[in-house]
Amino acid sequence: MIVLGILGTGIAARTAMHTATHSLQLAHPGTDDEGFQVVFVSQKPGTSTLGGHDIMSAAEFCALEAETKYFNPAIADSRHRKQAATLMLHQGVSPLSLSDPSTLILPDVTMEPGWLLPYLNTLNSNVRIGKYFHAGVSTTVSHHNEIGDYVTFGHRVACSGNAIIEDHVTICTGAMVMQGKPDKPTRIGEGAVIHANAIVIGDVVPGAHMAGNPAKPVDPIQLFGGEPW
Amino acid sequence: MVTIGLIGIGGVGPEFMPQIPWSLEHFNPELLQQNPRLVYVESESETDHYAGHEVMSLDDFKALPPEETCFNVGIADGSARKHLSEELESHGFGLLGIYHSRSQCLAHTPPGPGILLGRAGISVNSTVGRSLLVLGASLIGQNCALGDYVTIGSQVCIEHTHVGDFAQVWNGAIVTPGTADKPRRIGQGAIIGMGAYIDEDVPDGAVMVGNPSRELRRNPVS
Amino acid sequence: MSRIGIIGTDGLALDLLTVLDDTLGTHYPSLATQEREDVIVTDDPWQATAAGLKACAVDEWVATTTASDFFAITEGNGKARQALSEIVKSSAARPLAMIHPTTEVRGNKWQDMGAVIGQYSFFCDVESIGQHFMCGAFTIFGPGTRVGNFVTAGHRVVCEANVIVEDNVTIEQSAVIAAGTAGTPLRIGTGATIKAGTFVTADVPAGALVAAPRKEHES
Repeated sequence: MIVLGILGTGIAARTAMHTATHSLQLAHPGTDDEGFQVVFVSQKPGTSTLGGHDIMSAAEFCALEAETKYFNPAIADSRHRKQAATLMLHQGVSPLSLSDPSTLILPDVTMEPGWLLPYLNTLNSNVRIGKYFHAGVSTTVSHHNEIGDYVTFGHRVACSGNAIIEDHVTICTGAMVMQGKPDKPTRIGEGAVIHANAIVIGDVVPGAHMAGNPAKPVDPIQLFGGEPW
Repeated sequence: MVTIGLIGIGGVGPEFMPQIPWSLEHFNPELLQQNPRLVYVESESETDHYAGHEVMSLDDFKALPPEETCFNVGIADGSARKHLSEELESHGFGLLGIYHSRSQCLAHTPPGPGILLGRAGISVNSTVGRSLLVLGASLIGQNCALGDYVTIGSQVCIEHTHVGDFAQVWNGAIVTPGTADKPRRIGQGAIIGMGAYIDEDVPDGAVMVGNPSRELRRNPVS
Repeated sequence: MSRIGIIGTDGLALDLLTVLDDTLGTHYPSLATQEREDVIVTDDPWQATAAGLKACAVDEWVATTTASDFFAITEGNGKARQALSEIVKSSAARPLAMIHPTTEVRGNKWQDMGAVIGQYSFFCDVESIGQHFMCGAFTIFGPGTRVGNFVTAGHRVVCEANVIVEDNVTIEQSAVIAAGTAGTPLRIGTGATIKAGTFVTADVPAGALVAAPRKEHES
């Protein structure tokens, strides 16, 4: 049995579930669907199934006997995503990248494993993306972008060319990053949060929250409810 | 040997290169049967390969036999598209429309030549001119009339809107629709910036940015 | 033979009728293979006839439908849609969900009650959708979302997840409704209007008008 644990039970995890079988088949071509088992893994106590799939605790999942065992941290909050992924790697579970058949990845894209690309995501040429990249529906990453580790994109985020997105940056639904120049790329500093429908036209300092068009610094808001995964 | 050249490697061109085989299969099957080679064309390129395809200089491309060569121009600026496509057409090269495999053009009036249509839709009762460029996730909705060399970025949905020649509407711009009797007008050569919110007609040559939008400057219209 | 009537003059009606074979093939395979007649039901038929489609007046439609007929209402205004649904209620035809073939619907539990869904939208694990819901192109409705009757959503609207949209709400284009949690969903009250491009992060009371800051018009 080949088992995939989708870490989390939130929105991202439920969206990720729809891409699980396709991604497992990519990793194990020729294996029957019967040979795969997909479960949710959560630290929250409570319900035992979600959408017809079992919910396990992290301890149960790690103790599970399986021929091959994968995880994907489908947790929108990048800090929790990092914590969950680190836990699984310590337990010897390997990451599985999840992508939908509709995903379009052009040549010359370098990606670290563990990504989640749920539907209609386009990655243009000459893009480098760090580990556990997490995108919403219908996102576009244009040419000559560098994206760090644990970066989160909401739905319909468009990142134009020549931008550097540092680690743990969150770009919410509908926000866009304007094109930089080859010699002076737009830089979004580590841990910055770009609010929904904001248009970023210049560099963003680390940790800043930006909103509006053109985007201006605003008071931080709490994203994702702050609950554990 | 048939050659299909996509001009421009810096910007939007590479998004259309992978779509060419599907587009040929559905719109130009006779070209696909001749197993064409697909190349990028760039006037001054440092590399001879880009994203898995050969890069040719513009001079080398112009020297190819016209009867066996087609092209399109993947450059966002409409005047550059006009300049290059007219020059190459005068050499006898064919201007080839390229459609994304998930695009849907329902217009009863066929679009002008040289369309570059990303993952976008064009409605039944809309008309579009020559060399239109539409990036992904956009919709040319009902009762739209687009002029020649218009550029529509990604995530732009317009309805009841008339767009003048050479106008550019960039990614995520919100253009509130006009009505059937009085469509919204975007003037010739106007530029609507990324995410700009447009709820009034835009004069010729105006550059509009921001939400709420303001006129950044007015370009002369030739 | 069954008839399929698309009621309304909205441009989406013309598009949907043009691709009706694909729509039915995806969502109603049994209807796709049957012999049928497709008509635009409108009192103002010029657009339909201009596009080469068959048109029929509303009264005529109500008077002549049988139980084997189906209809959908594509009228951009929620109130107008409600009024039309009252008129056609007396006819024997049944509502049909008109989901554009380019739209992706995943794992949904909702019943078809005449929803009209535009191009390239994405519905994932949506809990319920009410009568004659209508949305434009490129909308995204995420897990746990519940949508009431006669709700209208413009192009590119996003309801991220766990959102309750009550009856007669209008969400204009590009507005984003942030995610609630499963325990405390975000609620958009009955009859509320969310203006274009607004980002909603908190509950909206019934009847409210929510707008992002806009330009002051000089007049």
